[in-house]
Amino acid sequence: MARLSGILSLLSALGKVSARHVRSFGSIGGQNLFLFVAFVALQPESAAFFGEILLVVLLFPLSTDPMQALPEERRSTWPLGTWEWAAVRVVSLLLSPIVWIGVALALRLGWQLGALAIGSGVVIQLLKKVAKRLPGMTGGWLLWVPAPPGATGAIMRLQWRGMLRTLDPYVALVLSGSTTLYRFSGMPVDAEAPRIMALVTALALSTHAQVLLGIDGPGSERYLQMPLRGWQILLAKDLAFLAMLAVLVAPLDFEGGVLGGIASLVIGHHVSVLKVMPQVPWRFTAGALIPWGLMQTVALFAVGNAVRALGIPLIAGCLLAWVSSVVIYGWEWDRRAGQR
Amino acid sequence: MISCRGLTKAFGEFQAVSGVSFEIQAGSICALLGPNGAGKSTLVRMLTGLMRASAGTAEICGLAVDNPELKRVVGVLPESLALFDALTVGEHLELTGAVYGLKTSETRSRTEQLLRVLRLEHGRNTFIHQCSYGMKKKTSLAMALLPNPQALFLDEPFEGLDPITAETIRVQLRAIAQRGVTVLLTSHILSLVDRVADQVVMIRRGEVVLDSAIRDLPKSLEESYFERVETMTAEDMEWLGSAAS
Repeated sequence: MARLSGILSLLSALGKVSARHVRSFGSIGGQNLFLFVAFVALQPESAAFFGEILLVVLLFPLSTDPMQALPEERRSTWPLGTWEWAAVRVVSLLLSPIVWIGVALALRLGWQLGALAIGSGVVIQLLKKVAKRLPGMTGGWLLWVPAPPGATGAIMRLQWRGMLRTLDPYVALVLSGSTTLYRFSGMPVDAEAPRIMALVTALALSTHAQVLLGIDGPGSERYLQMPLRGWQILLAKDLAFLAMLAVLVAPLDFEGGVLGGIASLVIGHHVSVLKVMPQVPWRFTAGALIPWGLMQTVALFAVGNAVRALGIPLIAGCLLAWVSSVVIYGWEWDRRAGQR
Repeated sequence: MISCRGLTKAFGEFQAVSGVSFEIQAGSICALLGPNGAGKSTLVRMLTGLMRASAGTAEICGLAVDNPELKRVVGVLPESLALFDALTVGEHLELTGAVYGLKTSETRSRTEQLLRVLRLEHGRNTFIHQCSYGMKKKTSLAMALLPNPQALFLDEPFEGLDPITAETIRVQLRAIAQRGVTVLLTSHILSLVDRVADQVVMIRRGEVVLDSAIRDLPKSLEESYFERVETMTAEDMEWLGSAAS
């Protein structure tokens, strides 16, 4: 009886871990794209497209094995027998978030979709296990991210790494990639579609403009000890953000996408410097949606849409606002750094 | 040289550090001792310009603590270690070299030596979030040493390290102090402090209770500590061990 109670307690703990794991994806509520999806949800078929993209990206982090929450060393010290561990192993599979999603999909949209979700989860788990055994595969690909020369380059690499450890760039990549493929597939495309999708791609990445320092977690304290001025740190981080954005929007609408990104940086600096928000790796970036995310979204779409009509004066105005923002918030960072 | 006069830090009503004054001569190693929560880390943060003092002044190597140039002359091992999860051990040192404007070849050569001396070579390409606590501490320490600072602030440099590395660091600290570097460290490992420090400053509840050269202490460091800073008390947990009898 005591053993059964032990197993149930263990499963209950694993259930709590799984539930917390799922709740950690609530960070999407602070992602600017969420605001946009909520807006387009007024037109259900458009919302379905974005919903599918989010689901594809979420499939990887949601395909977890709850037993991984129990460290091997701890497992081996607990007084449970082989059969008891086997029971925990089997039941724990039902606690994986991907199984819940599979069941929900099966009940609402048919068993084939449910089976596809659970099957994908199993394949992803197997791939993760294989990757763990290969040297350099567990995050090793991040080592390929290059560092441009100098202090600016070293911080740019750090920023790219931080960004690539969140889900935002992957949503942006799927948005940009799928639109590009569709555009070059020969199927009819609305003339405005590439520009709009470039702006949506920029929006998917724009929450990062609010967490330029928070993305480094405990490491952000290191900037206080570096012999660099605030503007130098912000500039390096901005350049990294814009370079990644430029690659993503280049096949769609380079000018509109990058200028939209600059607008989101001008507003994002305020939150980045005044409210350093640490981020959880492999989740969506969580910023301050209201009012800053909303302001970023409006500015990004306004600037990105107007650039063709207004041309050089708008570009010059945006660049001036950006440089001013880097200088002002860089100074603010220096000022606050000495006041902690 | 490091000097502070009447350094105070208040958080609302609570005074974490009150009126602390002491001086450390160039080329000396001073150990700042005290129990957890005594105000050691707050004091170190104020001396390195990471926290503004509520009152008092401090100078490091002739520079006021609010002088931005201070960051170029001090090396800091912070309590939080302040490392980046997205970088490997080796990349932390590359970043430090780049930020302090060292030539790539110089950074590379210093990195090689630091990794070797601190026995970190095997972890060079390991991401920080995959490192043990000891490896993280050594990485943060290597970052403090790499720019060749004139003053070093080390918050618990020996804690969490294996004895060989701790002893290696002790020997290195003695060597760099002889070359004129001023070192302020905090630690709870009194046996190591006894062998590395020239001076000891003990604080309790934010106030200095002893400031003396180690050789001038009337009793052993350990005895002085327990006499001035904390007394030993341990409640007996009678239930513990009852299953064995």
